[in-house]
Amino acid sequence: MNGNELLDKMGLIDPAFIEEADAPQVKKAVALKRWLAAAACLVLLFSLGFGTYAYAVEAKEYQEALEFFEEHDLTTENLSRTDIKEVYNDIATESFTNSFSANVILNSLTPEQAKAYENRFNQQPSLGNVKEIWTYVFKNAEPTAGYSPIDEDFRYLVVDSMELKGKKYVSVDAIEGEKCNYPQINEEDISRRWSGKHTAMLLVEDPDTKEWQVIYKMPGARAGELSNTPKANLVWNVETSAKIVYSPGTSSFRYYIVCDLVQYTFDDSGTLVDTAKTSQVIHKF
Amino acid sequence: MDDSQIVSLYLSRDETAIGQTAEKYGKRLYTLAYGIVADEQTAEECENDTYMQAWNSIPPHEPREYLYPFLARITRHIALNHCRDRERLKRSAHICELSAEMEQCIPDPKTSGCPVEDMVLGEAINGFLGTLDTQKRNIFVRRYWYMDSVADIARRYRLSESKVKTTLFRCRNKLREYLEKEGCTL
Repeated sequence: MNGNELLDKMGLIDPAFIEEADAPQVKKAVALKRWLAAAACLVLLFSLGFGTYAYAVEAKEYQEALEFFEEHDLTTENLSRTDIKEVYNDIATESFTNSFSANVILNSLTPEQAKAYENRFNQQPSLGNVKEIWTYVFKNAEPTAGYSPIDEDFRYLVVDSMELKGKKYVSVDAIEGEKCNYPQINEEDISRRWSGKHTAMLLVEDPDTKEWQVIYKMPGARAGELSNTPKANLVWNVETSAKIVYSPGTSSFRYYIVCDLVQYTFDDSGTLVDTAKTSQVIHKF
Repeated sequence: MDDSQIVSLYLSRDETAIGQTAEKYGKRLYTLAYGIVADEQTAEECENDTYMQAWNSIPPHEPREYLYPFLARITRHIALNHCRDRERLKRSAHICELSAEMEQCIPDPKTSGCPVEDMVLGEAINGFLGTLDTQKRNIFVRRYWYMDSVADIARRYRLSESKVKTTLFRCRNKLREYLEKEGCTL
């Protein structure tokens, strides 16, 4: 027998083997494997990217929190990294819902600050009045009645004005960095911008001298509208900068400032009689 | 229509059997024939001759469980004969190449027993194929039964041509050893 004949004899191969060799190749399985591999790579890349991004965001938040603690001389003792961020968010938004926040504030009080608070409010600092301690001790707000001088290193923008019980009030945005001839403030200068370093100021006109005097000022806040209660007390709206949010999720990569809208109520003498956080306002940049 | 029903048509001498066969297996048979004769018209002739021979072979055969291999074997045989009869240079070269490869599988007569019948040889070849793993067996069958080129086999199984050649070389040697061991003289 020669090769040619043996080639013919290959015709004796079992039909099962012939069918088997003619079976279509399972391309899908290979294709599926390739797709799975590609998908796995994508998932890995996405995870790495997301992980890196999440790490960067977390680090930025932590750094912000540390700076906040340092700026206000708050103690980080016995706080974990997560606690520090949570307390930062809690205090910065003035929510005071985190149980650590009150302890941090109380533990950060110096004896002098505690004494001053006690003298002013006739009560010892305690967990029940943490919000007051924060506002009047750490934020240096001035709840004092009466008037204080104007700092001429600020530019003043009148946001709203109102006359109540014969007194004229103006709500003013004081923006640090530009000098301004304060007595020139008038209602036409009303502007609603948010830029620079703001201080919300409430001013009243002295009926005798016709000069404007500061009743109340809130560093880091933006002045809002004026209104009055049914009992003719003055209501002053202030937007306190609560949180800056960077949103890469939007197509324009915007920054948002989430502000708490706080209403301060004053009596005739200019004394603060009530404070209430009413809602939140979001400014987009 | 399933194979058993088609075979029943043949058995009852119903001419629609050929139409059903062509509808179900015509394309595969044509492809098989074209792979051997490399000519469209001749391949069509082979396909049609296959139907004719199947008509004449069923009965007595009754390939209900293996209708396609049965038809494909007929097609292969007819296509090989066409190649040889018409002496097409290119395909003859292909057949010569395959024949030369097959020569390597033939055991030395001095070390083997008496010549074997087709049935014994068929059993030996199938026994040998049973010892191979699936891919090697498929490569061997594609090459020496379907007469595919090495390039086509490589493409079919996503292998390099050198890998296919090496596999075939080893399979041929193993077949020769197997036939020697079985005492087959060709």
